Amino acid sequence: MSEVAVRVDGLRKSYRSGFWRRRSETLRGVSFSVPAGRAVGYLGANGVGKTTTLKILVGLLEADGGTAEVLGMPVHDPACRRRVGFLPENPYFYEHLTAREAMRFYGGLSRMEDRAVEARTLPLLEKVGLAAAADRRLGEFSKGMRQRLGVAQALLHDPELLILDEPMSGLDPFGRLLVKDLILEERAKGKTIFFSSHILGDVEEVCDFAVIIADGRVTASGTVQGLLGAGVAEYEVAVRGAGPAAFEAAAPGRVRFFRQDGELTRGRLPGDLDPAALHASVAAAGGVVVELVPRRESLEDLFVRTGGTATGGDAGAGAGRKSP
Amino acid sequence: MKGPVLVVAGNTYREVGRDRMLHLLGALVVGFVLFSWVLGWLNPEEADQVRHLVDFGLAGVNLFGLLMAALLGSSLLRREMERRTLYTVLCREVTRTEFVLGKYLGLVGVFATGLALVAVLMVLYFAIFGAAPGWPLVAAIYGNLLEIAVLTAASVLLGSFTTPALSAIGTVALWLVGHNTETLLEYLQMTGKEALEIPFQTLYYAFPNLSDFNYRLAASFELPVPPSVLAFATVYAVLWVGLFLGAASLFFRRRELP
Repeated sequence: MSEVAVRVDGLRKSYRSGFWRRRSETLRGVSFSVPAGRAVGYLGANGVGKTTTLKILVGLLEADGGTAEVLGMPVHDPACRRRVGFLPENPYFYEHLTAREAMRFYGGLSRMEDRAVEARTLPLLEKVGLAAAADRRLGEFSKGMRQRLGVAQALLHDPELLILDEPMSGLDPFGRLLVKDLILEERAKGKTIFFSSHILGDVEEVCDFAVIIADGRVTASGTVQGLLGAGVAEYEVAVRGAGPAAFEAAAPGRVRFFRQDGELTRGRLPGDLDPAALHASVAAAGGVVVELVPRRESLEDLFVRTGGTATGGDAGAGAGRKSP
Repeated sequence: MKGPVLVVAGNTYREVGRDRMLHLLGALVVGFVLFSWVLGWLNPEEADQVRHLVDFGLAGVNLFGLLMAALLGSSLLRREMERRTLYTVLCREVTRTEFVLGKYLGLVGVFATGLALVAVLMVLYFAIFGAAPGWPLVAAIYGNLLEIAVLTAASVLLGSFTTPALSAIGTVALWLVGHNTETLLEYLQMTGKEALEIPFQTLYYAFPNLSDFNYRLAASFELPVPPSVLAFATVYAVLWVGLFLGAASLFFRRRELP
């Protein structure tokens, strides 16, 4: 197996819209690579080109420029899609089919033997929690059920690479947990999972690597650890016997939040705070620090802090590179 | 294991078979055929009665066949794009050409089934009147199927780059032109105007000659239709279908999916 499952270089895509058919550029030279056998999150705000990139990777859209390869083959070669499973965002299905018939249909399209489709259908429907609805028409399915079926059809032909567009979208907490478990399970089998999401907590839980896109360009890519750094993002502090003034004295103008919790005053202070200074200022106010919890930066913090234009991270293990 | 074309065709066959518009048009065809009895009854001559039944019944099949091809063919690809059901299909090892061909075959399969049912109904119906149109009637219905197949392919082609409404109008226009291209050549022979030869010949060859699929007169007068004629018509239809679907898949390959 190739060490790189997805390689994208200088990808460009624009759409024409409006009465004058003006072009608006969605992808402006996107470059990254996805290491094989890893779970990689593709992150970005709405409308920055995540879905466009994924559609190009599975042959639904044609790029205006640049190159894209999947499992060592150019994306316009339909043969590469035999080894790829795709879940579109908010998947739609033929409403006249039952879940079982839909799996038979997709198995046929993936050129699977009938017996192989039969053997995989029920276990997969069970895995996504749809076994009881196997013979129900898809027209009666809820959004969450369609999403689960979308995951099942993507896994049906046991692909080497899974490309999932917002896989947790529209799912309840149980469904999200189920999809996260499936991603981890497939990764443990050595499969590559490349998925877009804006639920950053979920990404952080299951991903080894992340690619961040903003304004049609990759702004950072690398290991999640590398992107977030090892430093302390902020301190969660609780003091007894002193008010917010003690926080202000320790970090003038930089207290992010405080509230009264019974006899405790809680607050969030910046990560570069000197704990000794805090202890001193609280003691001077007649109080005592009872909690001082350092918190690492999350992907969400990083995202909010940089407005989706985070830079940094590393390019280790073929994880990718920053776009120019 | 079936190829993707047959898988798509099978799914389309089932999907279209449930379409309410098809059920409505099918019911209208049956009603139209049955209504021909009234016209036959108005005619005092028994031989003319059966001929009117055949004429009217086949004309009804042709007309409603046109409507089905125009209405269902024109929205065949558009509906897939609007409902986004094609995302989970085209992300697999399925080319857009295979997809177009599968959708088309499924739709024409539904029409073929419908026409087979109409043929059985008509034979039984004529038997009540002591007539047995037999082979010429079957040939006429087969000719109808070939015509519908060509019109459906044209409708799919038009629907691949324009709106369903425009595509349906274009298909009806093609039906009108296709049934009258022979008139151009006849006019040319009658007048002998050399200046019109090139434009008229061009027009004649630019559109399918749908009269080549019309055996209604033979069915009406119980005249034999030689198998060689049917074979020629079949090849002619396949060529036009291939041309239309080839162009449709070229347009469809360039289509941006929303």
